[in-house]
Amino acid sequence: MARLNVKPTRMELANLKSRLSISTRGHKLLKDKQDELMRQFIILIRKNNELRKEVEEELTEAMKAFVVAKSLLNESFIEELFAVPDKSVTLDIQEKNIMSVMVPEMNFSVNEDDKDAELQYGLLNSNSELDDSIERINKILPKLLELSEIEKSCQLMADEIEKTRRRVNALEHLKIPQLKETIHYIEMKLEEDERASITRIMKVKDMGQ
Amino acid sequence: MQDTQYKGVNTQLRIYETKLLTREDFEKMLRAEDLAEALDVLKSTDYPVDVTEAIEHKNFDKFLLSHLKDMYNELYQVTPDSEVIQIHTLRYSYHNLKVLLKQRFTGMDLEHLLIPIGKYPVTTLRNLVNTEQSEKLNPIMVEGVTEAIADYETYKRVEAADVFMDTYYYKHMRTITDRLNDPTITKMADAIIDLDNLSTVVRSINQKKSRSFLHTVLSSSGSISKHAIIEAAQEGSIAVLNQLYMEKPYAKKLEDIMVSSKNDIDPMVLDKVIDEIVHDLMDEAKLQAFGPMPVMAYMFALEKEITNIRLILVGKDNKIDNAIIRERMRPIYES
Repeated sequence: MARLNVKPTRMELANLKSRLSISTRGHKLLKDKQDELMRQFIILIRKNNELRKEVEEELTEAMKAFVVAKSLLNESFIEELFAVPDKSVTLDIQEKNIMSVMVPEMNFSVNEDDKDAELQYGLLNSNSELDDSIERINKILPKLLELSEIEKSCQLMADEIEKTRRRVNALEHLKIPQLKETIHYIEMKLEEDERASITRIMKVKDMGQ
Repeated sequence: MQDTQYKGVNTQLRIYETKLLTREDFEKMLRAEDLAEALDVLKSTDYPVDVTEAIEHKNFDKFLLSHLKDMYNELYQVTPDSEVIQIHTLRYSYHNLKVLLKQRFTGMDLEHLLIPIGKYPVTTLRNLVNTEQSEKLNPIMVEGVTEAIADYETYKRVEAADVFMDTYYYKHMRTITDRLNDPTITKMADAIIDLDNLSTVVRSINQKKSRSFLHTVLSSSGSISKHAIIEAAQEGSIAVLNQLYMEKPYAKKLEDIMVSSKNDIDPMVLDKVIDEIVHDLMDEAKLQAFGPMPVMAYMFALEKEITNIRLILVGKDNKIDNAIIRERMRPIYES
């Protein structure tokens, strides 16, 4: 392990010792943070997995129904029906702090005026299978939005975990051993100097006799 | 109009009929392993299919519509009264009007949704939507567009385009059939509008829509009064069938649905039965030697053929089970 390039003085030794104690404390704190982040991350990931599976299953079913409904109608007819959305949705994003990671908290609200509109699309150029598939997709929407929120949180937390782990590793395997070694080196050096000077004094004393 | 005016057309129709896909063609397409094979079957018929392009872009409507457009154009040339064809092409004209109205209301560019089929060219329709007046177009159409625009200006609801155009589509159809004054065509229009109303009611009841909604979407151009339907709808979809449709000549087919469903009618089954009823009516009429009915029957067959082809192609493309495709296939015209 490489030692730090410092002069072996008492001053430096004191400095390094204080750095070592800060590093050790930082390492402990970061390690705790990492553990807690991992715990939260695992909970979120489990939830994410379940939700994703659920959403994917439902979405596949709904899309299948939509494909069949679509095949009975002219594509331009369908596009015309949905060219202009009948509802407007407001997305309100707030940030939530999980172990210093800012994760999004999304709230969706459908415009109140639009809720009253019963006619979502013209009935002439559509069919009941389309009604069915659109209703299914409408039902999935809240879950889909929840999933997007959780997935984004997971992503952000994964980034943070990676960063923290790098810091913990750097402290544990590089910084702390380096400091320890340098301290050890300076101490040895100082002791050596001390022994040298004692020997020198003893020699000088002998020469005087 | 003299029925004999159609004798030339009806002979020509027999030639057109031979170009329609047969049951064997459809069977071959259904048996195809994949999309490419199904397209190959179609290529051997009259459809202008570019197999590589169709596989790459999956834009089946492009060649289906181009075929439909060509056929309608030919029919317009040979049929003595263009309004007979209009009964079928009105759907496209009103679709175009909806697109143009939505463009006007929202400023969005929806040009790609316009379908160039129908008696009136898109430019004439565009003119109507922009200026709210036209001397070339039927006054009913002009009235519909003006009303839709007025409603939008007052309430700012884009769906006005859909509501008004759907209502006026039926009104327009009724005006044409009244003018043609042909008992078979009138019977057909009655059946189509009444059955569309029935389908709308059943779909609305299933989606728990309100009475006022029914009032907006039902057409009053049918032979069964709109108010009677709305009243009966309060007691459920079976009541509508029982009280209002049992006198109709096609009641037997509707009865079958009632037997198979307990409380609610499955709108998907109903949609198919409706197509079958109209098909049966057309079937009776197609063998008439005179009059406009064979043309009507041919156009209906053409539309359904396109629906069936689209269904099979989309089904093959998405690996949908043949049973599901078969279940939804519309009746095939057999001459």
